[in-house]
Amino acid sequence: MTRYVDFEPAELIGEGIAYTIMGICIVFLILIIIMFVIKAMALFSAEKTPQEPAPAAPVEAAPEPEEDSLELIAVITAAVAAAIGAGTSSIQVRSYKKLDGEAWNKAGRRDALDNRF
Amino acid sequence: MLNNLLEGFGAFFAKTGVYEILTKLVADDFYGLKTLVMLAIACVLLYLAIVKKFEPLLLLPIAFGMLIANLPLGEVMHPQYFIDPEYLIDGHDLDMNLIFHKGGLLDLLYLGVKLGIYPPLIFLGIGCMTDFGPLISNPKSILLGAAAQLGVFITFIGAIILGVLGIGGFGADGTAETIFKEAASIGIIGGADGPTAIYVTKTLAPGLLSAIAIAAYSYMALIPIIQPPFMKMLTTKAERQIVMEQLRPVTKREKILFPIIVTLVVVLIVPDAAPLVGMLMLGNLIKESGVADRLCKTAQNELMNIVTIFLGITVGATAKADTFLTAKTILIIALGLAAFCISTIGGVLFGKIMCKVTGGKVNPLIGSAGVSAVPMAARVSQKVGQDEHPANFLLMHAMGPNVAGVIGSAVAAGVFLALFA
Repeated sequence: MTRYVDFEPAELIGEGIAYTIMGICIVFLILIIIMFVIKAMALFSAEKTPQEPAPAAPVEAAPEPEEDSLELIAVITAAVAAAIGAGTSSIQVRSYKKLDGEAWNKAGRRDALDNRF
Repeated sequence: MLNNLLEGFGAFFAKTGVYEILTKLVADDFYGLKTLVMLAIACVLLYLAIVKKFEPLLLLPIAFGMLIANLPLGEVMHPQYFIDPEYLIDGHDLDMNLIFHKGGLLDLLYLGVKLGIYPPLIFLGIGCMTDFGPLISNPKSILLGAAAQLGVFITFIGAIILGVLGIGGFGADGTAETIFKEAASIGIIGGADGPTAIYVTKTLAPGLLSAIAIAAYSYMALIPIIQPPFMKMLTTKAERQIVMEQLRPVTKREKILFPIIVTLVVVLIVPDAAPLVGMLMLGNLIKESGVADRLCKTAQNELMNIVTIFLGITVGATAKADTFLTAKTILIIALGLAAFCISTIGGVLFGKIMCKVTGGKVNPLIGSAGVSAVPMAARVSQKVGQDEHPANFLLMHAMGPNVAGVIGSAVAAGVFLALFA
């Protein structure tokens, strides 16, 4: 095997180090430019945002409360029945109260993430 | 009658691959034994792809390409037509006449790799599937995508030193040019981006293509194992528990402008990155513009799948015993791992710097996602973060550096091509 045909080892390594530094600098340079352009773009579209139609006001026509809670009670009854394996006739929901939904939200988000990725 | 029959079978047997392997077991520089070893490696890769699910979409065709190309007398692939100066016109140009008339199925498909067609088409599909929203929303995170290219360049210099010392047979012809080209191709494994690695290697060091592609895709599959130890070692518990601010919503206008601007900036400065970055951004523009839904669907599904099959099987088929069963391959596998580790370290350390500079608003765990393997690297950040703080959702924050890594490694590839092609 022929070695060192057209270079001095030390020179070649020096040249390699120069390319390495240059390469890292160019990659950073380009991505930094892109970063500033994105920031500029954000300013540009921030100005325009007010002109866009404001998100439509919540359209929920207040549902009939009685109807809603009856339906909710039916759903809760069915869910409890399914979970404990009893018939719906043996369960009576006497009262329910909305708790802070943080735990369920988290579980839901985690579930969605796990499914997607 | 019986004699004729036996003779017939005998003559037939002499034309089989089994006969070829058995008669040349040690002859022809251990042709038979080497063939058996290559077949065994192909089977191991098939096992990893099918049972262990290592990047099966690519590893499976790669492994099968390797299997079919190494069976004797099949003649589906002649890697020598593409790399051996004896078969090249004037020692460097492809002899198309030879390839068209004597080439097998995979030789013809391999033209898509050799002419640089498949990797940009895959980038088109990736562009259609990528949401740059998290990056646009948090532009600082693009720097992590640059920092995580550290492994590319450190490994590049490492391979040069090995070449100068004459270890592993890098730059076997002893010229500086070959050493640089091979070192660049090996370094780019650290970009954790298969198509980019293939695009650089097919130009600079086609003889190393199969080893580099296999190393790149295997390590991408191993990211969930490779990265967490470094992420935990380099960060404190308090840093890992940092909860980042919610990302602001990004307007459609920004999402549409982004691919156009990135193309302008990158291609004006590094024209050699044009095929990769251009197609990536075209794909993204098709997606974000929302006016060409059909093209988007085709690019990210049918086209990408077709190209993936062609790319995988032909890259695998370039793995012939004489170029693959060498100390170089083992060294490439080792250097590739080093490249991945250094890139991870670069990303995490830069994440720590950003954490300090912003007064603790950046969780350094998202730094490791700067290697471009999308979305695995971001998922690893999410998982390691959630292990420390169950209510912490880093995924979208990590997607910013992750997609920036794709741009970063394509730029690094462009730099190498500009310097050495």
